[in-house]
Amino acid sequence: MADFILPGATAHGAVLATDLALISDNVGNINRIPYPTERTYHLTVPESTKNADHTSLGLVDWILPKPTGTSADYAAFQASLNAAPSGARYFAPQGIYTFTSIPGVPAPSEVHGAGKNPTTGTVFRMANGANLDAVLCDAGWLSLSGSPPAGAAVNYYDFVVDGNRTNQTSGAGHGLVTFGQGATIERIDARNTIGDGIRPSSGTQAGVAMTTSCNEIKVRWCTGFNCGGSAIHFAEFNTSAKLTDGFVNDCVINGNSNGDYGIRIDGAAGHVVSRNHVYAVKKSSYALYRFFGIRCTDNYGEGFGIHATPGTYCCFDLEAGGGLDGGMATISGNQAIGPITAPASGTILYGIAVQASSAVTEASCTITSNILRGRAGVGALSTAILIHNASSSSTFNVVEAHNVIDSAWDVPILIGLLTTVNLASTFNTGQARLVNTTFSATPTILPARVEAAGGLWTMTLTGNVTSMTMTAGRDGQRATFIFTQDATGSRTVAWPASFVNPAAPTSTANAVTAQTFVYVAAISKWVKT
Amino acid sequence: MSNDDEVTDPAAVAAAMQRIADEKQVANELAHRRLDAADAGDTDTVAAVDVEIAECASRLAAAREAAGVSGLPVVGTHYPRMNEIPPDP
Repeated sequence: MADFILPGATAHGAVLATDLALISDNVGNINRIPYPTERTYHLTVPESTKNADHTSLGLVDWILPKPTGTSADYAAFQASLNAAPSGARYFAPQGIYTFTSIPGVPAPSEVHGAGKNPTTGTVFRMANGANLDAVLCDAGWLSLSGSPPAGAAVNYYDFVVDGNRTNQTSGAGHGLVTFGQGATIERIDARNTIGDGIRPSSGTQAGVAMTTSCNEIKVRWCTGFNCGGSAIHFAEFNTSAKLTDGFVNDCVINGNSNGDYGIRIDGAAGHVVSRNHVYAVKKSSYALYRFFGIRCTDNYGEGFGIHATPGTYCCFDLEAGGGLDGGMATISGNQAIGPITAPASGTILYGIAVQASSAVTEASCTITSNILRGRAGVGALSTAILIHNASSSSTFNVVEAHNVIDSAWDVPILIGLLTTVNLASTFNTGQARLVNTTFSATPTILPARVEAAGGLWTMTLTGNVTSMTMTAGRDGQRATFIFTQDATGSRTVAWPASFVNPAAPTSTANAVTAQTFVYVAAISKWVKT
Repeated sequence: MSNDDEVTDPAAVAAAMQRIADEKQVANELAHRRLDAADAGDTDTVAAVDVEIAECASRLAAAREAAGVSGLPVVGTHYPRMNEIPPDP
């Protein structure tokens, strides 16, 4: 499809000859450039009028040198970047650039390529043995000492960054590194990197943390293939989180069983991660850490947790903490599928893991309308949903409902709570969640775990229960207790004092007794219904 | 007896399915024990439970195979095409 730029409107709405002149070459032809495989609009000019200044249209176009595929590419490319006026909209022609050093793109600007197809588009490739920290980056990443200037973003569109990982022996080996506040990264294909493919970073190349915000970065319609670190990684270097409120949408990632993560966000405060596909990663498909206001919706993950080193890996891994108090997470409409190949022995797998992992006074999340498909017989313990409050001082409010968990998961729902999880869990399907508790004469019952088990708590009585402990539940929470006498029978149960009107279990051998209680917060009692 | 005969033997399948259910209950309790021990910083218990988990996982795999429900789902057959990303329309 050819692109065709119409002139800017005049004050009276007419198209004047002077308007046409702004976008024409010197012989009166309207400038147009064909892009048979791309839909992106580019305002460009012929080589004869290269580097024309169309400031009356609010644009400055700057055509970068054509790629040669040789070691000459870097110097020519960087020199041309530096020669452009501020605010340039660079266009990199089709072909393969081979970089022996890292080009730094001045800000503010835009870099456009001829498409993200590796064979027909614009490709920026790390030269064999260059061992660079990145293929392409914002110039500030190379030189800043910790504070990006406001409004100095570089936007990137329509090209390939190729880390050429098989021909590197050292270096961080990232693809595209950027940090500009509000930057847009669209239709980029990142591939074959040792490190991350697309890496918004709040730290410089030297690892110095930015001191001003570089938030609202948008990554859209990108693809990642065979990236060793993460295909997309928002790398947070500042403990107070400067790389926040970003967007990762409509991206497709194939880790090719070489990448650790699909999409990783270190400071997931205010991010929107939606409508992405992630396939075949070694660790976790989606890793969203230090969540504060994360929306993780309508994503798909297929194949994770196959790292050679056994560990805990997830399709969706979300953790609140890092001083971001009051964290919120909406985890909805996602689909997860277990490992494609067998994980290392000792690996623990979670479909969705949501944790309050460090000191957060109160965190809240919803886990709803997700479909989780496990893989049977992988030899690793697999749990569909983990809700875990690992903080000694946190309250974790969770609604977990309307999720579908298939029979291939070993454990449907696992509730970990060092202190408090306020859980409402309803209307899940796909696998029974009855908890058959091993006999104890002095059981301690955690309401959230009863809730996660469909409101059921069961025990076969092989002896007398001499004391039971059950903490306060959610107001209105229902819990059904099912005691089964063993073949001996006549076992007894000493109910907690907080239970109103409990009955003794039927004493007949093998008899089953069920009683349901509702928690009434106003009187701090479990009342028999 | 062929493998097909084995997996279609209703009694054998039913028995294997019951073993799966039983082992899942064990896995459930082990997972909770491991998490609680990890929260408490009890690394010895975590290590001991990990051994039990590995044994349980092995038994589950065997039971699933006997029930004819083991094996890889038919997934992942399409994503290698990612290496040849087609042109944008």
